[in-house]
Amino acid sequence: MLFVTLSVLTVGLFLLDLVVGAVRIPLGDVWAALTGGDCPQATAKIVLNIRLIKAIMALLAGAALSVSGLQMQTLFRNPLAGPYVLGISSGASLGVALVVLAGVGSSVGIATAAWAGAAAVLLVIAAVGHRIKDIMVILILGMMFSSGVGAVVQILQYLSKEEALKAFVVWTMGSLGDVTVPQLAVLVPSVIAGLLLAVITIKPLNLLLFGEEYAVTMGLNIRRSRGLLFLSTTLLAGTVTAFCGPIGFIGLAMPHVARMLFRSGDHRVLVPGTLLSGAAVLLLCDLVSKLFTLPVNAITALLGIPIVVWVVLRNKSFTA
Amino acid sequence: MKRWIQLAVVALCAIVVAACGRKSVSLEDFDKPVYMLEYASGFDIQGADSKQSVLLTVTNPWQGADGIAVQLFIARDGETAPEGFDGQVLEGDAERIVAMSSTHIAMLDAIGEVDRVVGVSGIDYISNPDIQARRDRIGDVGYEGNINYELLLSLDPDLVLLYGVNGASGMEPKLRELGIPFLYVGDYLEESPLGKAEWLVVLSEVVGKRAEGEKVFAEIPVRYNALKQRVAENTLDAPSVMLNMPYGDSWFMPSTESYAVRLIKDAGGDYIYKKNMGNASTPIDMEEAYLLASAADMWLNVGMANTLGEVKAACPKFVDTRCFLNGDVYNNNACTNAAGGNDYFESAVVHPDLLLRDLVKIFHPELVEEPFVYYKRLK
Repeated sequence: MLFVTLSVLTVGLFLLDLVVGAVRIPLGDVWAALTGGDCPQATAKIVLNIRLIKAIMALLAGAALSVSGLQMQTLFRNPLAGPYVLGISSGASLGVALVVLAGVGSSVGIATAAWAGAAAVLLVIAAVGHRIKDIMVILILGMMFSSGVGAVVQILQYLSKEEALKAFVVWTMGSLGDVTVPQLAVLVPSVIAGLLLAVITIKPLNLLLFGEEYAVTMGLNIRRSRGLLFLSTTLLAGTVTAFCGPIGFIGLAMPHVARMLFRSGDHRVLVPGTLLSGAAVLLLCDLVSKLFTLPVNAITALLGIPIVVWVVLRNKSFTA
Repeated sequence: MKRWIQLAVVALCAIVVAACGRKSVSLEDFDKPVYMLEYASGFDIQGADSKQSVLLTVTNPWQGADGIAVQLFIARDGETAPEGFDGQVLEGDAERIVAMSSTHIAMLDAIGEVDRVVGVSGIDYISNPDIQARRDRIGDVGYEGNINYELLLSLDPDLVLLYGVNGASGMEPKLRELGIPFLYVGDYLEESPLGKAEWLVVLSEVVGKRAEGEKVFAEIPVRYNALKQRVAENTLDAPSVMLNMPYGDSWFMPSTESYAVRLIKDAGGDYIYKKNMGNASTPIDMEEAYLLASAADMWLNVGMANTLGEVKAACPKFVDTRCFLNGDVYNNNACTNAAGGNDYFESAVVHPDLLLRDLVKIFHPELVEEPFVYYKRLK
């Protein structure tokens, strides 16, 4: 029942996202643009090239970040983990900082640089992590590595010009609007592949809930599962971050929301539940950010916090 | 049989004639410079025989670009872009312009065409009175990285004026997808004050008023060079000049080849830091900055400070320097609007002569009677 409600809500928000925008377009024209009917050319461009792409981005990014947040929380047995815990966002920001602030390899473009940065950091973590048994050590290494990369970014920021600094800071605020159709052609398959991997890892995640040792005694190949989870997170969070910048909060909060909504720890429920609630909430954030023309990252936190607080307070087991 | 041969010959001739008549223009035909650059180095405008269209080429439009050329073909009189041309195409003159930098607005204003601006980035920080008077009808598309493309598209622009910092503008792919032509304006990369101003000729070409643009520009070097020469003939000593304010613990010193320093030199001042001859500012340590400030006669461009008190609050250790004690501290923020937008970064680009006059007034007050425009002495 809850799945049906969430699905309807997501579809509803998706459609609303197509109708609402800076330019007032009558409902009939939006429909005509979507179905290839008769409407002004500018309207068709706005609906198809701007709103539709942005709505698809919100849907994908919300789903991808939330699912990878869930994976990381279970893998690290840490409720404060999120998609960026392994240093994906700091790796991506290093890539972007090198292009925007230092002008290194400016021809490759921001998205490629961000993706390369994120993938480089994860490769290092995965390579080191392969020799380490204790997942907590990997977590600490990831955080140290992020801080180190962050320091390099700070130095670049410090030494750069004001205009470049502004462009970089705006990138860190996240944006769903810069994506183009060819980029979507990269993004959609990556996210779908990441989500498929997430489905494959449902069983390992459930076993990991009882601790790594128990999971091993149940016959789980821990290294292989970790590798799959890292790959899934790179595809999900890495790709989204490359194209939209680091979008905060969603990945951390949505798994908690899903756990409380569905009152379950079973990943067979949590993976689709997190996916749907993440998509719905980011669509809502995009709607609000459009209404106030503010960066989407500010909205995810401002809107997300009340949602989480509400869910926590509503959950009777958490209140006295 | 003979008839057939005759017919075939006629048909063949017809095809040859038709093919010649339809011979399309090629990119190579556009090799006749229609404007000779005098001070700038980042653009050129070329035409072709018996064609109204022009090809605008902007070379290395951002910092660190090497061998990159971005082209805009302005198609006039129903002519079409040469086959295989992969740059931007502007059909006719730009009537509706979105300007991403306030300097673009100042250039259009200089040639009396600012009413073509339909969209800007960060309208509160723009000083231009015409833009502010029409602000309800002008779209603010936001900043690069978070552009409101829906609004941008609804403004129905013929052309978007961009700038690139350390790389191509992030707006490029989306603008291509939306089919909106764009042009990089590289004024900020020119270090010559007159070269910066010369970019107004590019904007006059884009709106189809190059003759007017050339006329407006031609007068600027005349005034600038006359004043520069008067300074050279009438002054013996050049006061030493300290620049800028610290960011954190470092003080960024511009190169001796930079725009600010060239102006100081032309105005009869002596920039105190001569070690940096590169193409970017160098950070120096506080101690070195203190030595420089102590030796300087004047201190200019003190960040956002409006009073000596604000300078004191920002760098308390520098209040015992001679320039501070004598009150020889000047800033370029005399024309700042309510939101904090400074016209120095906007209209001064097309008024290097006024900027020079301000600086001459600071260094050699006896040579200039007119009041300050961009500068003020801090009290």
